[in-house]
Order: sequence, then structure tokens, then C-alpha cells
Amino acid sequence: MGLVAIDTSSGFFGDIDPTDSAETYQPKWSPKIPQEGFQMLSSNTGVVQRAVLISNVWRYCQIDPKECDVWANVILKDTYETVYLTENESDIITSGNVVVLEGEGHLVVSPENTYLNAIYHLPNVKAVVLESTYDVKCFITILDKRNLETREKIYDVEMRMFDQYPDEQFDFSIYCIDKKKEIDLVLKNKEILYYKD
Amino acid sequence: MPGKTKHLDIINDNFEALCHLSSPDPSDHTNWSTTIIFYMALHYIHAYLSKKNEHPTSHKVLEKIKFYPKLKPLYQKYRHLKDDSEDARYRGKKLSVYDMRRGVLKWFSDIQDEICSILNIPQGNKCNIYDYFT
Repeated sequence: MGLVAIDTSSGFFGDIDPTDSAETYQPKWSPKIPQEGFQMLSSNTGVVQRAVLISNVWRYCQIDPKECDVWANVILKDTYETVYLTENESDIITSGNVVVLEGEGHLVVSPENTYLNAIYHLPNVKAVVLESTYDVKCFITILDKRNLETREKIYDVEMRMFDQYPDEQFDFSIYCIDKKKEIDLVLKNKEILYYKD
Repeated sequence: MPGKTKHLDIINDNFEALCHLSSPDPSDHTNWSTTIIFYMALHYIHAYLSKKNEHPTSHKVLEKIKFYPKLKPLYQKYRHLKDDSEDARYRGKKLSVYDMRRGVLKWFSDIQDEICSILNIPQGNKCNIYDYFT
């Protein structure tokens, strides 16, 4: 089954209201999963307009309005969580990563985005990278301190991932590294999903 | 593929190595102690899975722990051991004896108690690792 990314190039995040978008986001890292719809917010962003979201969902999902509406809310929430809740930290990296399963018309959120959205804001999370083999997605989270509470919250997310994506194979690791040089070595040649400078 | 008895033998071998490594001063090599204790826990998980005729490769172990209801409560403890042992092996992290007792030893003991209870392993066959980290 093929995956088709929703086209987010025009209007997906709503019309930008210049009076509302005082901040400019300058992300430091580019997520490398464009084929699944990750998109950087590299320009000014304003309020996400729900109506525009719904119309975009409509364009692609081609299912009944009620379901589209439900998914629009999911996307809206997702977008707010990833974009707006982190606004003060200016560490924005991704927008909602929503894909349409071809032929079935259901919208799903990729494992990368589900994992990332659930953990990137936790204390001491410094980076999240993906190292995939042909059949296993290996998520590596780097903490800058051995924070057992954060680790346990991430473990909960991992368990949910197994339930949410029964057809995927995952491996998870959490590294504790406090030196930037050593973190850079881990990030080298890996797919960086998140990095907080 | 090794069966339950073989896995329990490996645990005992590892425990002997741990005893040597931790005497006289357990704080000397906590990085290697953590690694050995993780592998002891891993073999307990494998001992359980072998009774289900499951012999998963390394990355599949987590999925299996999540899958079996009796193992599921051990997921977090196993993950803590895995992460601490990787930090020890690959990044040279050494925990203090205090942190060992507060974390690594406790997580291992919980896994050991649970698996021994499920597999009816006598109390006397358990490894009392606390004795070596005082």
C-alpha cells in the first residue's frame, strides 16, 4: 500500500495573519523525512485556521464530512502541539505529519511524528534521531542528564507505539550524553528528527 | 536455541563473574557490573520466552515483553537496565553504588522475582546481588 503525503505547500497551516505572526522561526536542523510529509516552518506563522485545515483534509481524504472533521481536529491539535506549545522555546522543528493511506481514505500519523510529538518536550530531551534498517525503525533519544522520570515517560510512549503500529518493527534506546561533541558524533549520518541547541 | 535450563545456567555464570568483579570494592567497575546485570535480566526474559517456544532476536525482545501480559509489567525495568548498560558499554558511564542500589539492582531483582515466580524457580536459586553492593 502506497503512502501519499498531504500537500502542505499551500494554505495547509491557514492563512497567515501578519499582525499575529511576530516571530520568525529559524530551525537549526532539517528533518529528513520529506517523503512522509514533514515540513519545516521556516517563515512567519500565524494562527492556524481550522476552516482551511478542514478544506485541505477534504481535498485529500474524500471520505464523509464527519470523519474529515474528526481528522481535522486531530491535525489541528497536532499542529498546535508541535508549533504553538513550543513557541516560547523557539525550538520548532516539524509541522503535523499526516499521510493518507491510498485507497482507504484514512488519515494516519507516521510513527516518527507520533513518537516525536510525545517526547520532545520532556525535560532533558536534547535530540531524537532515527536509524532505520530495512525492517526496523530504531529511535534513539538523547538526554543531557540521566533523568529516570523522563525515561519512564518515554518508555510509556514506546509501549503505546507497539499498539498503535502493529505492522511496524521498532527498537528504542535512550542515551545519556552531556557533552555537545559527543552528541554531535551520535547525530552524524543519522536522520535527525529533533535537536535542541 | 537454548532452553530455560541453559538460560538459567548462563545467569549463574554471569553472577559468578559479577561477584568477582564487585569484590572487594563494588564501585571499581560499576560499568561492567551494570552490563552483566542487564544480561542476567535478558536471560531471565529469554528463559520465560523459551517456555513459549519463542527465541527472539535482540530488537524483538522489547516487542515480546510488551506482548506477553506477564512480562508487560517488566517493560520499564528492562528498558532502564538496557539503557544504563548501553551507557556503560558505549559511553563509559559509571554509576555510584548508591545509584546501583536505587536503580539497577532493584530493577533486576524485580525482574528476577517475577520470572522465578512464574517459572517456579526455588528461592534458593536466586542471585542475591545486593550482598555485593554494600
